[in-house]
Amino acid sequence: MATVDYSTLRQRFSSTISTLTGFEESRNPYDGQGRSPNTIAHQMYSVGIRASSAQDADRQRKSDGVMVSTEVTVRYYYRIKPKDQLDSYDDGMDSANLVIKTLTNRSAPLHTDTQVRFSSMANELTDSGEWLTVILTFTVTHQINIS
Amino acid sequence: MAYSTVPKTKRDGKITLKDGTGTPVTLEVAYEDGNFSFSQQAQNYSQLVIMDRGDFAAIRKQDQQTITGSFAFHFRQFTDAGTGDVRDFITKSGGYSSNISTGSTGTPYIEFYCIDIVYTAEGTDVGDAKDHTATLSKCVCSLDFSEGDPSAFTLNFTCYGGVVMA
Repeated sequence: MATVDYSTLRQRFSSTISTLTGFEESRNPYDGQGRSPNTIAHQMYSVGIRASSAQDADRQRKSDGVMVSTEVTVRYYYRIKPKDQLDSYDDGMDSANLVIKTLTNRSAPLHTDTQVRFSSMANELTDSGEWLTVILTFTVTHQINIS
Repeated sequence: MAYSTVPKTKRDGKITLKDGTGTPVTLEVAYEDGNFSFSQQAQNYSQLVIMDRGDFAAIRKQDQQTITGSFAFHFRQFTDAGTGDVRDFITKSGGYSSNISTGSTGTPYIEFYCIDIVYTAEGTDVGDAKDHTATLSKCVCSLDFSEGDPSAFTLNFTCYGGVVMA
């Protein structure tokens, strides 16, 4: 199994989501995504490498790399329209299903030398009621290069 | 030669499989857990304890004992006709179908296909005068497979030819 570095992993996630209609990547990194203006926030996503831990059962040979389990988080905003708010909410949930389905679809390049598993979905409505924040978490098993 | 002052870890280890060809065919095990283990009785023979009304009367040397051990490695594929993998190596199949058993010559003669297993603990890289090896001869192997993250093989072996430490 070839190694896949963190930046490559993030880029692969981003490229895969960008193929979905309406999704645009934030110009800010994951933790700075909230700085984007509301006018462009609808379906604006960011991919973050949140944590990564080495598997205990691994000799960590230089020639093989280190097997790690990396938590990749996708966050995006979905606008709840003033009228028919439940319809918008359901559309937001459907979009989450679509992103999960797309990212777990085993195809290159995202799944080349990686094992992507969906872990969790969380969402929250802002106090204003206008924005749904969807956070999807995936666990990826891959090797990182140490040679 | 000074005794090593560096305790070894799984990062120092390496497992190499060898067959019985004149210039042995070898396979260095990759993508493994780093949990190689083997157990051996200090004097290689079982003990016959003879009692005299509840007291030890004599302890006699009985049967020679095998050395057993195991290690685990990550599953990538079951077999490969070209390159071969660990399973091919211990079953004399796929890319290692031309291997020769290490048990077909010498004593004990072993009718089953067997291999030698060499465990090497890196020493020179950490300041020792040499690397440290345990060579287990004439090992009959079996595999356990279990699915998981990652899926894994566990190779179990019974060694009949003894172990040479260096």
